[in-house]
Amino acid sequence: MWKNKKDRKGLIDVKYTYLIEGLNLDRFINSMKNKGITLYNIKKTSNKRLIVSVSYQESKIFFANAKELCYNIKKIKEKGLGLPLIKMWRGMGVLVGTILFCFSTIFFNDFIYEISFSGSGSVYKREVLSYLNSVGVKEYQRFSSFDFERIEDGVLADNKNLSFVAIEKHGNTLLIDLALATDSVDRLDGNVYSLTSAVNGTIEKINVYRGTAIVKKGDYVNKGDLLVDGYMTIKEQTVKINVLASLSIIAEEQFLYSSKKDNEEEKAELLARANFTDKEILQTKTEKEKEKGSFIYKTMIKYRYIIYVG
Amino acid sequence: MSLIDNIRDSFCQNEIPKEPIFRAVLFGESAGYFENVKSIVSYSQEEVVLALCNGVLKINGKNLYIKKYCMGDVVICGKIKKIERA
Repeated sequence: MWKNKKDRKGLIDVKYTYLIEGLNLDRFINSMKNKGITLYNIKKTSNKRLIVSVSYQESKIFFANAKELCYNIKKIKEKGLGLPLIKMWRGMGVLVGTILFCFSTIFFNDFIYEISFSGSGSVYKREVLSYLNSVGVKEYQRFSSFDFERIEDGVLADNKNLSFVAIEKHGNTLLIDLALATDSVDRLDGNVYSLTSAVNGTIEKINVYRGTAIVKKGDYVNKGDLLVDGYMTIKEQTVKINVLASLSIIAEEQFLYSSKKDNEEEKAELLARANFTDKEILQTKTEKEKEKGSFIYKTMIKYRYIIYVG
Repeated sequence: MSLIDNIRDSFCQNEIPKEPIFRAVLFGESAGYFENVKSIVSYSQEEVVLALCNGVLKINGKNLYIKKYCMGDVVICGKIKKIERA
């Protein structure tokens, strides 16, 4: 069926169905035939009503000729696979407008109109902005022309006071989130033959450059546990050396606060946090218990404890 | 006189008729194709009367409808019970 050109044309041909009302409908049918108009699916629904279909190409001639005769003509249906194409052709202005709108939205969405800063590191906004301008990131540049992961690394490397940088696109705004570096590193001097833990916690990261690691990532250590031992085996001989290593431990500590007043969880948390102004706090949780007429607030603080020795 | 008429007159004087020949093709009881129909005299769901060059053709049936009608060709669909030439 698809090989025959006539059949293919017939499948996509669009037909309009009209309702004809009037007397002597047979005369109407014959007069259309005499004018060379092909009629399809002629059905009489009553003595004065006729339903007839005409192809899209002949519809204008049909309407023009039928208007001259004394009949009421009304279009009731449009049918055919090619109908969406005809509707698109009729609404060409709408179609072109829609395409232009989509294109301009996609095109103009790629431009930076504003650079915005957030986070505790915003105090270094001017320095960060100066670095961004030096690498070409400024207003009215295109988002797609930058690799933001590399720029994040560059901002961190350029400013030692920042510990975290996140750059993301939000509409046409470039959002830069900055976090200040907390001085939560304990430095020990170079004459350490063994490294022990000063806190209870889980090893997050361990890097040993000199010495022998006794623990590994994920191990739970208690206060006083040996972490890195200062010995090295060289040619079946064990020698004592200074330890050179860095460790990060996720530690936990509990604080108790007693008060006769209820609903003082926030105060208990603030008091507990005050002991860690130089540490990076990861999580705090406060629980309340009532005991002999007063309230005991237990605050558990999880923080990151970094040791660097060497 | 057209070329076809000239040829007809020269070679086939009385053999090829000048009027168009009526032809009907039936597809079982469900459809019929009729060529060289002059006009439709009357049409209803039970009876369709076609005017030919020399006479009329009555088609009786049930739920009859004209599938296509153009330039002397008529396709009638429905349950055709009887065709009568008068």
